Amino acid sequence: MKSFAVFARKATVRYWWALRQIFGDAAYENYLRSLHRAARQHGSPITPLTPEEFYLDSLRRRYSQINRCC
Amino acid sequence: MKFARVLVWAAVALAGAAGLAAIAFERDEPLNATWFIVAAACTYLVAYRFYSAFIAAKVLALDPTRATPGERLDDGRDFVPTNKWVLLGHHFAAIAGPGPLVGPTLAAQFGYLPGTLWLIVGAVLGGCVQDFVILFCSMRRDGKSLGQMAREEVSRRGGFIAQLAVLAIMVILLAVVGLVVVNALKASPWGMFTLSMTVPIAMFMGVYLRFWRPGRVIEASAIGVALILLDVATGQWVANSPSWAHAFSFSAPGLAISLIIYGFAASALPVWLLLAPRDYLSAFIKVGAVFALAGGILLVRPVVQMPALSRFADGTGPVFAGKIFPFCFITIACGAVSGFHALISSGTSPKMIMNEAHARLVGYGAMLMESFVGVMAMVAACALSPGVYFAMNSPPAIVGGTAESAAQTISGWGYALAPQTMTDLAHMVGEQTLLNRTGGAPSLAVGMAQIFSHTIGGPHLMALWYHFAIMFEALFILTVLDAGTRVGRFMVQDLLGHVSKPLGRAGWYPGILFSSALITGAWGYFLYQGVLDPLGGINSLWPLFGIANQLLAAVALVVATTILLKMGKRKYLWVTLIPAVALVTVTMTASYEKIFSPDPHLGFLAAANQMAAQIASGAVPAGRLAETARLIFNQRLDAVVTGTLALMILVLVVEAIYEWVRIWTSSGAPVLHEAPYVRTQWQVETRAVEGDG
Repeated sequence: MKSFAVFARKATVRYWWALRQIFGDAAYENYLRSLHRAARQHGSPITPLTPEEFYLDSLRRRYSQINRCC
Repeated sequence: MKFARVLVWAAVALAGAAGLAAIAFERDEPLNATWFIVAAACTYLVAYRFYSAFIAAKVLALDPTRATPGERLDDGRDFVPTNKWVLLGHHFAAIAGPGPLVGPTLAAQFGYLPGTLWLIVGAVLGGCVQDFVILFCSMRRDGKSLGQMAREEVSRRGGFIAQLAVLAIMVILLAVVGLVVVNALKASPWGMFTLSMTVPIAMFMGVYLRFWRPGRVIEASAIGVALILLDVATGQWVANSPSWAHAFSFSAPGLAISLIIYGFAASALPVWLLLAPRDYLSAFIKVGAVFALAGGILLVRPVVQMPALSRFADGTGPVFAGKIFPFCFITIACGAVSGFHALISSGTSPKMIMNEAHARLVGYGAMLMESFVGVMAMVAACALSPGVYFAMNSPPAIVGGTAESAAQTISGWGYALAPQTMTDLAHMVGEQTLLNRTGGAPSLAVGMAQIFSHTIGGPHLMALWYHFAIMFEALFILTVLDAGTRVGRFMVQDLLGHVSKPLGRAGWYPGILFSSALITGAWGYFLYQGVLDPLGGINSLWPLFGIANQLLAAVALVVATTILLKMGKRKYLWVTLIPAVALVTVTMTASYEKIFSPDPHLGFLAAANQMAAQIASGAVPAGRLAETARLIFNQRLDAVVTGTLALMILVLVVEAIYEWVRIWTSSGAPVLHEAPYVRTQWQVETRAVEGDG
């Protein structure tokens, strides 16, 4: 019973993670992670966009090119 | 262990062969839809396991040690290394539009056999190969677009042609999907109310995501989906209220004008307000509806009522004119081979791949999933009785506008249909009429509603399921419409920038309005012409769209062949060359027939000449002279557009052949515009990127 509960919890966490990745909820976290990684590699200071700025910027980028098929 | 694996794969291959044999040869008793699922799923599994592995290893030589652009150029915005399953979801959501649902539904007029075989074989040998190879090529070039690759690897003219072809296909695509929505929603207050309400719901989500909870897409979409479901249920009340029903009953021309205004507004408004939230809603509902349809088919296992080959294999079909070859192959584009996919495969996806080896799953695998959606649409359409299918998908010029005339004509074709059947069915799904609803969406919605209502709710919920299906189709068609209009606006601005600098500036509002008006006017013209077409518009516009889409696929495969040749893969050129030759043959034949066929139902020029002769003989009443003259002009315009598209691909093919001969006969190594090799660093960081940490 306990092992099933552990499995169910892990599966739910994994599912939620995938859902957040696919639908874009995790985009800002991914962006911050990329920025920090670049800063670590190059030793440069970072000035990240705010969540709102990032959201608008990502929309502008996504809808300036073909992103949906027929 | 190895022996067990061989046995398992032999069993899968045998099951697939049995499924295909049942579809191809079973004539004595009605065929169960399970055979379609078995045939498709097993063929896809075998193709993925063996053919895509062969392409990955031998033809493309994917190198897992080579850093992808997602890794090298990672900026967290455009270049984002992404888990392969997440990227598969992204890529599938991007390539799966209304095409794999509508195309197979229309092609069902030939019977279930030609379309199903083309969906399965075309995808495995053509569509998946194109998507996979173009994804690979773009990935090796830091995510360059198809047009840029054509310019660099084939010729400058080739690149320009590819860009023009993209703009042309965009205009025709937007017109034809608009026409599908018009035919689904004309004189349908329930459907119209449901779809209209999606605009304020999307705007509410837009404000929520912009000001209250930036980036919380799942949260906003869950609220939006709940409101949409409420909206579908409320639509029944609207349809039953005489005054509200009147307010939401639109004629086809009125609906077309509303769509044109909507497209213009969506293109010019800030993207966060309407376009993006509608896209989120559409993605949620699309994924849900596709899985629900798959589950429904597996649970209900409907019997296919359409014959394997209908009498319209001879080219006299009422849905669209033309024989199986070439018209089945251009009617079903998305689901088998779609050039538009090459734009997605050379767009965002190559910038998000974490490891080269993932390109196989994302490129080949996502297209297999889309093909499966197409097979399900074919099953849903063929589960309808043929009489009902033809009554819904035939224009009034062929079957008349009443249940009696339609029943008489269609029964005369050998497909039994009682007038009362159509009246009862319309009543059951909460519509005034289901006759002459060309475009495929309504008949697919009836098929889906039958499957869903057998699973949940029974006949009492038919109306609700029908309008849910209509809303689902219309919602994501409108997403294509507004996203496409916006991208088309950028393309027009890009072109106008060569004439006037301010017009090309993305942020200059007069330029935005002008270019939005231009692109909306272009597709709006074709949409309106389709609405006025006495043969229903689909007869002329869908083949035009199919030709344009398959021409783009031919462009992509020709570019891919050139790149393979430059990579020194002469032995494996057939992988892309065979589908390229097949598509060029299909599209050239279809273009020729659409322009020059002497049959007025098929040939644009023959139709124009027939109407001109009617005017000359005085057979057209004075009151209809102007309308007939406009129809003549439209047919000639369609002929010119088809001819121009065919000419463009011919020029590109000639350019490519010239380049191939040059490479083949040259002693030096050809110039390949790949990004230089850099060894991946991901082995140490992959788990963190995948989110396990």
